Amino acid sequence: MRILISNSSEDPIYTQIYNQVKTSILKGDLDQGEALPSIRALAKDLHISVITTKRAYDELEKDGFLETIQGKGTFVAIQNIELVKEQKLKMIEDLLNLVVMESKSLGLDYKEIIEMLTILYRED
Amino acid sequence: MLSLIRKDIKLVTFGTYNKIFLVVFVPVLMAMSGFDFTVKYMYMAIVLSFAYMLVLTSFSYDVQFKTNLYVQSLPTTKSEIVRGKYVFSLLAFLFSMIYSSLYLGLLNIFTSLNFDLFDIYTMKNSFILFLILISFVVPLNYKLPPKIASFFGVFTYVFLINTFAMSTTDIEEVFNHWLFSLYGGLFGILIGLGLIILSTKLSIYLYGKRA
Amino acid sequence: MLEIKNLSKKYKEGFEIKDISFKLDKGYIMGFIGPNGSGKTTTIKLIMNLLKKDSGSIKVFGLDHIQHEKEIKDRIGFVYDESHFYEDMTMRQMRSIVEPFYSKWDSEIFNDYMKKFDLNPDLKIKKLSKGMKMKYSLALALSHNAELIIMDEPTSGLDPIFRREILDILYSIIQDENVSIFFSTHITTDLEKIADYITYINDGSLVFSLSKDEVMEKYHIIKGDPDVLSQNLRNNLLGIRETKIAFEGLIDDINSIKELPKESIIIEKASLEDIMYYTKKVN
Repeated sequence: MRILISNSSEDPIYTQIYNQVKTSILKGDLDQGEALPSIRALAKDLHISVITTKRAYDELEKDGFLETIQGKGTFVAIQNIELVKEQKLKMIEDLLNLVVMESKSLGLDYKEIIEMLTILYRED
Repeated sequence: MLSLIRKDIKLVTFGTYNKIFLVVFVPVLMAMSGFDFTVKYMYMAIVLSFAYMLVLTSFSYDVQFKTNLYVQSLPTTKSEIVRGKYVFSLLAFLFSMIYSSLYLGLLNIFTSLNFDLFDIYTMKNSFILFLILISFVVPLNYKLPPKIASFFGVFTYVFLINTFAMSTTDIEEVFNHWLFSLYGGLFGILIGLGLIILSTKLSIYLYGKRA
Repeated sequence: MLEIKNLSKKYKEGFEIKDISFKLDKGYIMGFIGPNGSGKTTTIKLIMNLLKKDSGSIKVFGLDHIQHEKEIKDRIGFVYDESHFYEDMTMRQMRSIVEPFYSKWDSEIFNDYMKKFDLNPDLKIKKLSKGMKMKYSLALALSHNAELIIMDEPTSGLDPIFRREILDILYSIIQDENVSIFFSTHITTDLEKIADYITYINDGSLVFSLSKDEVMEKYHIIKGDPDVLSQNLRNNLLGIRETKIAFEGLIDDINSIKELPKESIIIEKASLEDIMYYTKKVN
């Protein structure tokens, strides 16, 4: 797991950790059931306060991404990842549907939509 | 308290200078007095001096290196530190007595001189004097600024030595005083110990008031 | 683990600390900041009973710090700024004096630290540099299984590389969640990284004792054109630095300036140094 903290970012540090861990999980960089470093070990590695790491982990646990087993540690939660993925896929599908509908009503054809999509994708 | 006493013992024995001092102090004083102990008072002075020097040395290091704050931060209390000093003083006297007797013993073996190794008269008198001396000097260390206290410490010592340089008859009169002679000196020892207890309480009070 | 309530002490010369209260739970690091002469050292000395308090209560490990003085000190690792040792002694000799005082002394840990710090135990203490003496103090303080480490300005006078090393050591210690660290410093950059809680004392009084995250979220620096500096804004700022070109101020309630146009001002995170600087000006 790779986490990079930026001191100059607008986001508070715990948010940065939250986002990066969440992304790692959704992308599959972190497997289900995989162990995460303890809040203290993470604090030490990142040179931040343990309260901050705890806060990030707590939020991730609340949102179903992590689960803590007393005495064993913190792990990537198993079930809910699929649920979140499904939810996200549904959202993407809905948005794409919207794109298709609007494009059709404007008279754009399939090739033009793909062009636009390619440009936008490359921009990021 | 044991740790505190061990600390003081280490303080007076560590390092080359201390070791030389320990070995040489008693014989040098003995030689300076011309080994003339028929008067007994020189011997008394030596036993007293040596013990007193050990006590002063243990104080002087704390003064020199300002270690008081550090010692107080160790698992101990000011009260225990003070009491440890008094216990150390008594041990120093015991050591001085035995140690000086050892040297006398050596002199007995290697010379034609013949000394009485455990003379009660000398022991009890010097012990009483030592108790009085310590009762007076230790609280000074907790009241006065360190340099002045050191000065007083040495001053008292010099005063004592001068006393012992008085004529024999004068000294004998001093030791015939009831303080030293009542009940074979037991009375004096009890008074001395009583003074030590009072002195301890005073020192604890003074040390407590210090910052 | 450490609980201070309404602590007060007045010196004969006039300086006093008044009504200091804060607490530190186990497993956390608390940084104790304040300008020179604000009462940091006094507070620490009072906790260790090196000074007598006038009023208030101090509890360490839930025990009264005077009634259980010996027991408490046995579990505290103490590092003092000007650690006074018997300078003529070697580190080995000094350690043999210290060791018997502690019930849970661990020689192995001590030797490990001496190796890690590259200290030769047979060197006389007077031959050590300030940094080495500090490392030695740390080695002594960390070798008796202490549950609370108290340090007074442990990093002052040390070069930045060295300070980082010490911070790394503190991070390692705090991996054990039964240990707490309390240290005073005026090098605030160290704390911005490592501290979990910050207690700020100024002129003998407590300014705040909060988690570091709370502090960083609460205080901000506002910069802008002097025209923007209305009376209302002035009242909301804790401290201002004004020049003809611009003003800069500290604010602790970001909501109070919501009405100001976003383009006219810059809002930044306030560093601990900023907080200390601007609040000191007010006093």
